Amino acid sequence: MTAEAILEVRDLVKHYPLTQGIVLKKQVGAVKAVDGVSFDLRKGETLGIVGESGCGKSTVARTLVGLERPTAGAIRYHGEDIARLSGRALKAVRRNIQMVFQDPYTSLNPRMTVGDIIGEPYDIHPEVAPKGDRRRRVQELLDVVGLNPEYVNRYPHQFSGGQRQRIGIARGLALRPEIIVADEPVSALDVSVQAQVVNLLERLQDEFDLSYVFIAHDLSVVRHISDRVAVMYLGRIVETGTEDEIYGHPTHPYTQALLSAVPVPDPDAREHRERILLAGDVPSPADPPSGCRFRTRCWKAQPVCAEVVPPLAVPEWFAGAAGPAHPSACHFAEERHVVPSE
Amino acid sequence: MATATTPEPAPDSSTPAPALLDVRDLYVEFRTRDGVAQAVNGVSYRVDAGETLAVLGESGSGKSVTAQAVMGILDSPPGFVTGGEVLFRGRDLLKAAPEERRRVRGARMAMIFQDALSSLNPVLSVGAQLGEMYEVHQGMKRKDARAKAVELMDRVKIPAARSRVGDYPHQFSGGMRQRIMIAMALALEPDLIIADEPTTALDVTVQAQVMDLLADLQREYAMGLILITHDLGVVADVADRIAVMYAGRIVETSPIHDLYKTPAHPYTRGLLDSIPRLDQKGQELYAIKGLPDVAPGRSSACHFWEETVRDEEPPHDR
Repeated sequence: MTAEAILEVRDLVKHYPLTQGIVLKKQVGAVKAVDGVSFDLRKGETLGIVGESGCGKSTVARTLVGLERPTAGAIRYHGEDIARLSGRALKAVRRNIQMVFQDPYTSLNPRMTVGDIIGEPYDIHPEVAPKGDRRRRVQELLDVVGLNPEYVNRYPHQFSGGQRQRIGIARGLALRPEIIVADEPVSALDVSVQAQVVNLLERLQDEFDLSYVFIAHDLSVVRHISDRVAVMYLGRIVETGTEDEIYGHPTHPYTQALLSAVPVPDPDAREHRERILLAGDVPSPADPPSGCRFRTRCWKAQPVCAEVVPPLAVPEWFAGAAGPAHPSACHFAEERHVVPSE
Repeated sequence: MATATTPEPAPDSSTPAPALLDVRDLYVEFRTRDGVAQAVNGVSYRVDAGETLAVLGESGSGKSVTAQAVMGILDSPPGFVTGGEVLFRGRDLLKAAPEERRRVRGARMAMIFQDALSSLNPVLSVGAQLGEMYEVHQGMKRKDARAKAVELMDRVKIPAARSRVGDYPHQFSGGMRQRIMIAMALALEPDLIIADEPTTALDVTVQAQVMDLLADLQREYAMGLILITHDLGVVADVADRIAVMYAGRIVETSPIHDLYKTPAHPYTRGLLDSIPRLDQKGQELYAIKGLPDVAPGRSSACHFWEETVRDEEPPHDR
């Protein structure tokens, strides 16, 4: 795939200051939620970002849609750095990057009707839909996401979890954005309902030529929906590549451990599956380990890992090979099969 | 898909001895202002010592309510057991006096809950909560109980147990808290453990650690384990037998290997087809129509058929 990158993220950093004192606030440190993340999003593709809780994936999502200001780094949308925009210019860009949230129960205002919820973006961007036209637009959107257009006057509590997530998606689509950032959009749903919503997202992508940044902790869902995948650990991307490169040929030890830990719904696989069990917990992002951040839980760790930060680059031994070369941030990157293949 | 030469570890279901737990034709209903909801409609299952039974179902299928009725911790009202038997080592717990049930609960059968943070008391140290099990059930002195608590924390592999025994639940990570829940369930060495979504709130790498621990301990103590979950992957990794629930009924029960290869019920088939798989780049997922719930006033023999199958047969070529 060589389509142009519509979103370029470069060295994105988001630190949350830790302060002490009430009157004389003094910064005593920072939670390094995101610490130097770079990636491209191309037209019409789905980029999956996976990682465990606290790895910074949701913070990345929030900076992309402008809910948080990055501490440093650039987010370029069609070449324009949205991290530096403000006022009217920022508002115009935001129209094109919309978000779908995880929890369909708390992300919809319980006192607004569905019609008001989906139509609210038009209050902020009235140029998209003239006043008299809104109700029709909202009903169209309901139809597009598979809900009965006559439900416009109902309230969120009258819908099930899956239907609410459809409402959230309709709201995200209202302004005809180019990019949708979906932060764990199916995590709160039952499997059968999850399948409906995943299928809906895929259908809408084709229909409206959308690009997705799909954030999830469920590696199976991410594989299903993504063209390219980035794996995050403690504020950094440790490995990135196409869906096949990451799942079929992982080279970073963390990716391998993560993949090997996912239960596979096949009881025959359990006897001859290799499991990498990681010791301990993720270190605090307020005080991350020096060098490679994964070294405290890594079975390959050497003294060099504590001193030199491994760059996210294609390992040398991949060079020239026609194989699945892709960037991996490890001094000792090496391919290992952990996902059982068909 | 690889075929494995696997010895079936489960004891044969035709063993004549009374099962560890034998639930027969259990009915539970919730009497609410909006009407009566039949949450459990004639559920039967049995678990033997050393066996893992997985109860699989989506939200509202009645899997947790069944477990609560078995444990005797159903909120009543609104929940009422309206029929059936819960035979524990041949004795019907539903007919037992409250005092006897209390002695069984915790000591002979224990439960692990999903959300460890809200299941543990935030204002008591974990040592006090673990030790309480011994003080209440065995009349142990506080000091001895504390020593037993440290021992338990060691057994569930909590690092530096001796120095952490005085810590409070919020000072532990999610995985460590779930280990404390497991320790608490194990404290009195019960014969049966019911684990209700024990790893749902955890990250995958932590989930793997916790499931591993649970399986090891079960083997060590030869306990019966009922694993309640919605995750077909977790089930495939640990269960011997599996019971699939839908709308308050068990729609299918079978040894684990058979269920994945030849699911008999259309709902089970639909469920298997609806999950994205780590080991394959899928095409469109099969979406089960309708919603799994038991609204008051439903009465078909098969809720699933009523909602979906009569419209369309799920595609299947496994």
